[in-house]
Amino acid sequence: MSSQPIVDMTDVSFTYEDGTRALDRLSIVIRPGERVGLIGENGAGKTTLCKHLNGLLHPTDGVVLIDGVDAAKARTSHLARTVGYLFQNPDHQIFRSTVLDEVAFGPKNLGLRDEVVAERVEHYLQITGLSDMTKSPPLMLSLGLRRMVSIASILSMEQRLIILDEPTAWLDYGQAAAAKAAIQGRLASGAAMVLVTHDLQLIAELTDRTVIMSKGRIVADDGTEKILSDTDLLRENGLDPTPLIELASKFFPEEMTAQLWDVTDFLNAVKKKKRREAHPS
Amino acid sequence: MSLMDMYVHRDTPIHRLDPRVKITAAVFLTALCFFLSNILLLFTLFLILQLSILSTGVSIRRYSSSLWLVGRFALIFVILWPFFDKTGETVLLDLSIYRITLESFLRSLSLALRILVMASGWFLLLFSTTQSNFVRGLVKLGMPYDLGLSLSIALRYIPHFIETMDQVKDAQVSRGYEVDSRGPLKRAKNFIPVLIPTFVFALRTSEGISASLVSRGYGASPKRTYYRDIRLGVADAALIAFICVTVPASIILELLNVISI
Repeated sequence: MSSQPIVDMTDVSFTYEDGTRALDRLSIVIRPGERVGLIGENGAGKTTLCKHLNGLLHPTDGVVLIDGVDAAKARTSHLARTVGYLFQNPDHQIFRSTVLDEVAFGPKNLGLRDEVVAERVEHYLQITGLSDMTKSPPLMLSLGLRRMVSIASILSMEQRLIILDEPTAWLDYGQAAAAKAAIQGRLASGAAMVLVTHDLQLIAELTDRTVIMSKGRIVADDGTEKILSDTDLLRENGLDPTPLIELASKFFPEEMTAQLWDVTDFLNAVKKKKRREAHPS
Repeated sequence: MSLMDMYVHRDTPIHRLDPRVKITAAVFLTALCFFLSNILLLFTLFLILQLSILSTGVSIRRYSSSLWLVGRFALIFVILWPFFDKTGETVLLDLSIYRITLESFLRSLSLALRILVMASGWFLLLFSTTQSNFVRGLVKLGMPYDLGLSLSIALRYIPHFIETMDQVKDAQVSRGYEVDSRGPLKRAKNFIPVLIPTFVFALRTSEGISASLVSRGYGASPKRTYYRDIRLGVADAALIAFICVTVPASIILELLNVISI
């Protein structure tokens, strides 16, 4: 991947008005198509970092380049052409009277032609399972469905970088599966992603690179398999490995791969190991 | 910083005064400001209040920014007054339409001082009284408890709503929406996508708080007891005595026009 980074942060520091230093000389490069998981304790600086990526916050020191553009000098509404940001709380964005209008809001702000907007809205409503409620008032839907509306409304803007803050929070099993499929569909078309979550299983499923933050700094940045296999590193940073990840790291310390974090694959690997042990030849 | 979030965390004699006494003093001071016009009296009151405010430990920077919120209106009064009041014999400046006489200037100064004294009295109360004590004082002065609790909750949630509004604004601009634009009408219209989610959030929050209160027995007993009660102390009695002396004295001095420039 030799193309221009979609994110290039160099020596970025940020201090809030009350004196809290949220980012401390942090540097990170994200290339187009990369799927980056951002994890760490509450207060580690994850959200502050993400808000620098679409110009909501400007660094106290250092430079943030988004697709080569200095984010501190660009308006957030202009950076929205490149960067999509799914906020944690869906109620912070929903205001239109129908689901259809809510999902069309972002693409319309980008100045897309009506037929393109209609096409995208239909597509994303369909893959998020909202096709039957296009005329429903989104504010009256359940929290899970409101979350799905917010996911559809961000994905329909089809930016080159999407920042997702706890995308599966408040979703039931079926909704979470639909949300993950929708996100994966967007990633398959080449979008880069920064995923902020405490759900390590989701990190395992959706990312190929994981960054751990602590006290405004990056303390680990490596392949997701390697990071999630290091249960001591996770615990040191206030993260709780999922039981399956822990089990897999105990059973297969030498051959930990993301496939082992799926229950069926894990059981198959255990059976295979047992067979190998029973018949060493 | 909102006007309702001005409390300075200190433990000074003024902080320790009973909120009922402080509220009563602020109300009397406000009423007095409507009556007094003597500049020397008003200026003396203003000076006493400034010293009292500074003794609460508030930083000069923070206080001056609060005072400027009101001070700008006082300044506008002083500047605009000569347009409407051209009476008086001692002319200080005459630009035909804009004629300043010493008498009209003193009247405008008196009005400005009234505004500043009135505001300073309430600043002193807000700098030295927590929101909960403020409401507790109002309830003890006769405000119905339900109303006091509603006021207390409303005040406590103001910073939360401001924060929510900021988050909503962030969420909308992240979807490519231009909230800030030129012209007040366009700006007001552009704020609708921010106001609706904030308003809905406020309604949902109030519904949640209401359910939480009744779930914890709110309203179960007609007579409630208090974990923390407030009692009058010696300092409170001294302040009450001071009010009882200075308010009538000021009125008498004003009526007799004893002190004049």
